[in-house]
Amino acid sequence: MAIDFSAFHLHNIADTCAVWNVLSSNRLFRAALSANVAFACTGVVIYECLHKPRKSESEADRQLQNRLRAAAKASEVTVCPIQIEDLQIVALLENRKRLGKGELSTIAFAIRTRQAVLSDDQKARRLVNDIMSRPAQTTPHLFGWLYFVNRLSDSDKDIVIGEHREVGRPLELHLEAAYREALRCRLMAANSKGART
Amino acid sequence: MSLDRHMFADKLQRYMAQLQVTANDVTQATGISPDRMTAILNCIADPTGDEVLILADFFRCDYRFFISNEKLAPFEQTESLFRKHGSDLTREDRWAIQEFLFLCECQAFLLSQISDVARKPFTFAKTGDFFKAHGQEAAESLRRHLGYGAAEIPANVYEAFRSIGIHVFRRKLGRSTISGLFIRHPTAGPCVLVNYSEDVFRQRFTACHEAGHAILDDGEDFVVSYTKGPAGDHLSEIRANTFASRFLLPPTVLQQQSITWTEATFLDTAARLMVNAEPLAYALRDLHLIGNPQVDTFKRLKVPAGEKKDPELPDSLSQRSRERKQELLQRGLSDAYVGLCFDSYERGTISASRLAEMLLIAEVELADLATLYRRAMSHGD
Repeated sequence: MAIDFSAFHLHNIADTCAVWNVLSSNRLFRAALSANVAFACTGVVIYECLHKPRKSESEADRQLQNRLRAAAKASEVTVCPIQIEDLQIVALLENRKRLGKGELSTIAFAIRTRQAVLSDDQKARRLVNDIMSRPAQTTPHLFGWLYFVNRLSDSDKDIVIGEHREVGRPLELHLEAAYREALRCRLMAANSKGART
Repeated sequence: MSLDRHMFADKLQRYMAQLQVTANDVTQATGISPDRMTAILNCIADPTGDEVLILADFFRCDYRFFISNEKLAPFEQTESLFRKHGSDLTREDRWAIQEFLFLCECQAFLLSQISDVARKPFTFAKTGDFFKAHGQEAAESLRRHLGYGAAEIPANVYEAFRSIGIHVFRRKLGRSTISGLFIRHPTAGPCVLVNYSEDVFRQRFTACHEAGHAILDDGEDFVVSYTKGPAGDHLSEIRANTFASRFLLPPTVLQQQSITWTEATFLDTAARLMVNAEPLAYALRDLHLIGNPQVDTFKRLKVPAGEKKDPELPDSLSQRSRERKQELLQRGLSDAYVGLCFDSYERGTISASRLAEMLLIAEVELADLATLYRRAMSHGD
């Protein structure tokens, strides 16, 4: 589905993968906060990010964990608990065995609070799009939207992508594509506005 | 629907007892605060939805097990198993069994989602009450079912049993004297665990022995087999041994060996048939091809370790890949299972996060494993 870079829902409940991708670049995260984007995640996502035992822990993983702790402490990422009743809704989903627990908890919370799910996993997004009126958002969507609304400048692109790559995150190609598409959309929107005036 | 707080606390406490973990262990591994843990265990507070999911992840079970009365986890089976064989199982062994059962559940789910996997379910109806004959007939029937030729020796018994719907996993069981076990999972069906600590040929025989239990002990929820143990003379153990022997060493194969049995020819035959000396010696004796004095001599012989090839660790692997895959195999992650998980991810059956859960790792560790198995992760849009 084509992304509309002119719109981005400001209240996001992020799954584990999306938390890491948003926090991977300090420039991206700060720009999003300054554009009034709010990030929340469930207790399960916090567990998966900070507590779940790893067979091996990388330096990048430790860096991201430190960023998440700091962001949570500063209330830049809010931790929202889900309730048993939320789980009972998710238990009815036919696809529940296809998703991880972080994703399930994220969807459960989003259903109750009508927030947008922020997920960079295609399968999770497909499920969200099947059951919720508001489609799931992605980190490349956020990145592109920040260009559309002029919260990031051209010189930020390489910084964001460089920071993202530095901590081993995998969205470089998608961020590049989102950047190009957002600029195209912005130009078209400006042209169409110019034509009207 | 409200949660039954007492039922939840009871299940939690029983899991903690089964797996020998304290409340402190749980809080440290999960990030759930000690106060919350105490309140939940003492039925003072309901768990949150997050806590249910986190505890299910920690105990490797379906979260619905905690909040419903459905039989979703082999909870009674493991409780009885640990009660009966507890003194033979270390805490690490108990966790290995718990993870093995989780892998069986995942495998059963993934297979149920794939329509193009060739499956050949096998059932065997016992007649009479001669246990040894049950073993012989079931082995012959299964060999026919799998389309084996009269002289064919199964190269990969793990794959053979997986193809008939038995979930077979190998896993290192620390200091245990257990060679393998069979559990009938309430949702996944028959599950066989082989102790990876034992030598390759022994594991092969154990897989067949446990499959014998899965096929023939239809009234049992679980059976534990020991390297050397008190159950060795039990009729169902003899039956499972007979099944394994006849499956691996059918009379047609042994009777074709028109050779004079010396120590050298015996060891050569054992290596070729991929069995250790003891089962081959007994199989030859049962067919009157050697006598008791030769059995006593031959069964003490050792097939050289270099002759024992693991079908799930082919020689073609590089040294580094071999070490990594061996390490994964010790945790129960066979090539077949890892391949099934990645295939399911690539088909869009499961998300990356679920893939990580099924592979017993955190999501951030996926990229490394994908590289080892030459798989690609897809992200973004």
